[in-house]
Amino acid sequence: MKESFILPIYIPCSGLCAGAFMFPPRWFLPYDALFQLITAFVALAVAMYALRGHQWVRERTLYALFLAFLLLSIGLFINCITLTYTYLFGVSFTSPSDPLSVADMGFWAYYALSMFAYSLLVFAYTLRLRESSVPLSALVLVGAGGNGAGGSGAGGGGAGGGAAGSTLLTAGPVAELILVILLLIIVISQLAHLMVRRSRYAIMVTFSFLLMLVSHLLIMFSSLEDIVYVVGRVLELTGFLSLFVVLYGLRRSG
Amino acid sequence: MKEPQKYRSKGRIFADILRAVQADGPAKVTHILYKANLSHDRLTKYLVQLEETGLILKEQDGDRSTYSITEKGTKFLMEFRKMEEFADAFGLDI
Repeated sequence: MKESFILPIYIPCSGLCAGAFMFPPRWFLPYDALFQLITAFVALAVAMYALRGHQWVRERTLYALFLAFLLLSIGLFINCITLTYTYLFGVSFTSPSDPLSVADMGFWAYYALSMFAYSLLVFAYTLRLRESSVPLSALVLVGAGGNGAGGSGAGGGGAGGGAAGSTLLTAGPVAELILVILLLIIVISQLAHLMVRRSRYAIMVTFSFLLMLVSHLLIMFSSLEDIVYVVGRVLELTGFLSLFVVLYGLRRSG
Repeated sequence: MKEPQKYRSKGRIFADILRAVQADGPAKVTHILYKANLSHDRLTKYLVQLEETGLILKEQDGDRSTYSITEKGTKFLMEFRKMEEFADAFGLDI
């Protein structure tokens, strides 16, 4: 079953094959865990703010925002715990491991929750687009591209089937790719919204999602250099901090 | 060509009614009708709901009814404005 997840973007270079994909440099693990903890708190703050709004105005878009950021926050907390665990117990990313190991389950829970959270956001945008006059064509194009990429990923499974180690070694890039596609849809939706209505906060939120998108892209290709992973995580943190600034500004404006 | 009417959520209709009531002080139904852009039947239904939730206060003077906004109603409007800005920042409408 593991093989079916393998992404056909395996680079035909022995140094980059199994065992080298998208894992943080070990020295960076404690910082990575700390970054994830901070982003988890920011996501939780956004979720709580949306819930408070929903309790007042009973709007489904606010509820979707609450659920999305709550799931994201839980996923980030789980990732923080998993990274701490792998650091403290010296879990190896590259040696063969049981797919049901704590580390694997932790990483997968993080990916599953993040995918679900970003899908909910995409759903919220779809609701808005159905009710407004913003053209859907851009999203349809992106959606079609996404399906194509996902399909080929599943189909090309056999290519690197011999890869040993954590299931995340082989399936992780696919998960990252799905997150990238979802974030791309969100960024395009935000940009379409900015063309109609431009506000300081909308620009900052677009900037946040853009940084998250770039960070996942970098993490996907972090096998090239350790620094790529580090820069990816720093950009992700910056994106979430930008969201926090928006939240702070909105709270103060009241 | 006539522009299609934008969907208004229940929260937004509540906010529109409350804004109309707030602007006119104790407001008459006809004023609210005009400003909130609602039919008489729908407005009557919403006014009952707003009164039940304590967002407006009805005052009866003979045949004439006027409505004024309560403290809770003012707080609702403030929260609605903040949430409008929040949702707008995420490119969403409420």
